[in-house]
Amino acid sequence: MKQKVELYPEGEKSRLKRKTKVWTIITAAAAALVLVCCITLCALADTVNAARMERICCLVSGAGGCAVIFLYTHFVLGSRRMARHLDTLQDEEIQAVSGRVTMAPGRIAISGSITVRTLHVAPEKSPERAGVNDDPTGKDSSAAKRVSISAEKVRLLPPLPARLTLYTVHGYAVSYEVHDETD
Amino acid sequence: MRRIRRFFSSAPKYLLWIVLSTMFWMWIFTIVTDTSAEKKVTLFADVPALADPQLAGALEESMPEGIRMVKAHSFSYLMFDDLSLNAADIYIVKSQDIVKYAQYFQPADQDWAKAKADTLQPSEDIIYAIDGVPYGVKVYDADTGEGAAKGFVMYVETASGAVSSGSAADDNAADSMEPVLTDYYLCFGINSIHCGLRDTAAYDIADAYLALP
Repeated sequence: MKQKVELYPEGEKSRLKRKTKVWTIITAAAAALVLVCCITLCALADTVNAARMERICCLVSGAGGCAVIFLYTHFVLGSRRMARHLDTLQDEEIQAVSGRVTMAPGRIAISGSITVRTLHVAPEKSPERAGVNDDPTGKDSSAAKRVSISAEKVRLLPPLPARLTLYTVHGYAVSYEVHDETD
Repeated sequence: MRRIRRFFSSAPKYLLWIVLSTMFWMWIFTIVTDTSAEKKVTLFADVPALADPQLAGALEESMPEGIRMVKAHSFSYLMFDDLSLNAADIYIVKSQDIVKYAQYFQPADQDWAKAKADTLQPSEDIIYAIDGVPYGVKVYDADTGEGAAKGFVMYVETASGAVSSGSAADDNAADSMEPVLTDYYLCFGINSIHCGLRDTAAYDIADAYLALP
């Protein structure tokens, strides 16, 4: 029995929104903390300790700022981009492609969007139709098709290579079914 | 490997942040730790070593009214900028340099100089005068080793750090290791705005300097 596995389950969007909100609050709090520390150091500075306070302030601002940049780029932007990606997949026509699925090496970071990986789906023909080209345009329809998948969702796939039916929207995998080897 | 590559791909933005934030806070501290010439007294000392923040802090303890800050710098602080040197209120200089840099100094108030001559250790050269006009008050006597603010200012310098090995050539080096002894005087800047009849802050700070251990 085939079981359809959803890569983006119900409530994924609201979960992402909540995650974005939480990380935004954490990042803003960290930035505010760094700023408050620096302002306090400025306020505590006097003629005798000014040089020391300045060094500490530069250190706090440099290290704290880097931590804030890290939080923002890795967590806030990451979940915000994922949410935007999810928006593009909703209410669109779903297509299915079946075959032997393998994973291409390397990741592709799409500028301003998520990082994806590429799946190659090699269609499998029944033995009696082997050698027959179905495509009226003459193109080889047996060529492997390429499907993108969010790098974060790769862990939800079964061990590859495997025989799967991938359901795609805009060329992105949204769900899959595992074929029994006996099929 | 991917993590290393990822780190180096984002390293420029972290480096840029560190450089920009350091420049920003240095600028902010310059503003916070400085004020207009009317509200500060600036002291420049041509001495081998100076604990400038500590000296300024000690002088600030006896700040006259209207003054918010005392700045103390050694001449090496200046680098290529002589604007702040020209605007200084008080100078600590070697006795042999007073005539050389006389155009930077203004005569000290006669009454103040007389009062100093009376109260400080009596010696012939306690007041440095040019044509009978007082220009400076001695703050360090090379003969006795006595001086003001010795806890903050090092007046004695060694001309060279060379180590002698006993050869004839090294005898000269050994000679140059002898401390260079010279008297130091406190003078007032020609452009000081705190040496007038109404604003005598430079004299008050000079008094505080002379009283420092």
